[in-house]
Order: sequence, then structure tokens, then C-alpha cells
Amino acid sequence: MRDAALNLALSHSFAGQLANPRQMTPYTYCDSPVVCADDPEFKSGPQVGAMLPEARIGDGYLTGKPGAGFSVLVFDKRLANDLDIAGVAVILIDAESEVAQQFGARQSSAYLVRPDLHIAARLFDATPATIQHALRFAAGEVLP
Amino acid sequence: MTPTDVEAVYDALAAQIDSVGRAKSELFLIKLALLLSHEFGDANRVIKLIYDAKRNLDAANYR
Repeated sequence: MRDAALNLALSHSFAGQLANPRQMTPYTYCDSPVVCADDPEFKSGPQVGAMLPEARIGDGYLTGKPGAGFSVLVFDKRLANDLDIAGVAVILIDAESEVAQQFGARQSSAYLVRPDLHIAARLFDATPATIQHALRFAAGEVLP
Repeated sequence: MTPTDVEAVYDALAAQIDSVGRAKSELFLIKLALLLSHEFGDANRVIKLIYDAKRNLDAANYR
């Protein structure tokens, strides 16, 4: 069914929302204790707590990329290479792409995505250390 | 829709199911069902028709 909806969404935008694996109008968990305060430097893009939006990545779809655990979206190859966190999928997105624009991201930005595809944190200027900290916070291990 | 209209739809559908092949026919039919539902615009009636279509699928002498 999902393949059919994704396929139909290539020509008819109404089908795009059907392809979302979650409910059609997702809940935004902005007040959850394991959701970081949003980074105010982002001028656009999905806010913290929101559902990961669908986007075309190469010949696949963004929501098809994350693994079973947390995932990190990064827009810089070097940052992607520097991230080595067990069980965390690193998804590299071209900083010049439309998807990067959709996320309001620049090259140094990162989004931490929970296993349920909600955004746990986003960092406009991320480093491996700040990403690691956001991850530990989202997992309930540390305070902000 | 007149019987002639229904027949035209039946023929076009049959031709395209054959043309996409067995492996893709389910994908094709789901897309078509979603497109028709979207045009039709009445979710409750579409859902009733989904259940109507499901009836008698196991009938032995449907051919």
C-alpha cells in the first residue's frame, strides 16, 4: 500500500500524506521532558518534536532511511565521517539540496531523529560532541 | 453511467492490467483505487464499496 501511495505521490501530491507511516496529522511533542528546547537559529524547517517530513533523497525517501534506533541527519560529509555512535544511523544530505532548504539547514546543521521518526533535537551549528549530548539527553541520560 | 460506459471502463481496465503485468497489477490497482476515491470525494461511500468488493472473494464458482 505504502509503495502505491509513494508511487502515486510522484504525480499527485494528495497521495504524499498517505505515504507517511504515522498518523496523517502527526502530533508535535514540543513539551515532552526528553525534547530539547528548539535551536532558535533555525529560521525554517520542522521544529523539535515534529514528525520527520517526507522528502525525496536520491532514488529513495527520507522516512525510509532511518534505522531501528536514533538517526542523525547531517549536511556535511566531514561531520558525517566524524560521527561514530553505536546504533545511530547517520544520514548525509547535500547542503545545497532542496531537502536541506526544506530543513532550514546549512552545512554545519544536524537533526537528531528518534526511532519513532519525531525530531528529538536540531542544532544549527552542530559538532560531534553537541550531537552526542543531544542524543544522551533524548535517551533520558543527562539534563540539558 | 450507461452499460456501454461500464463496458468501456471494463475494457480499458482489462487492457491496462494485462499491460502492466502480474507483478505490478496490485500496485497499479491500488493507485487507481486511490485516484478514483480522491475524485469521488465521499470517504464513507468509498469505504462501503471497499467492503462490498471484499464480499464473495472465496466463492468457488466465480468464473
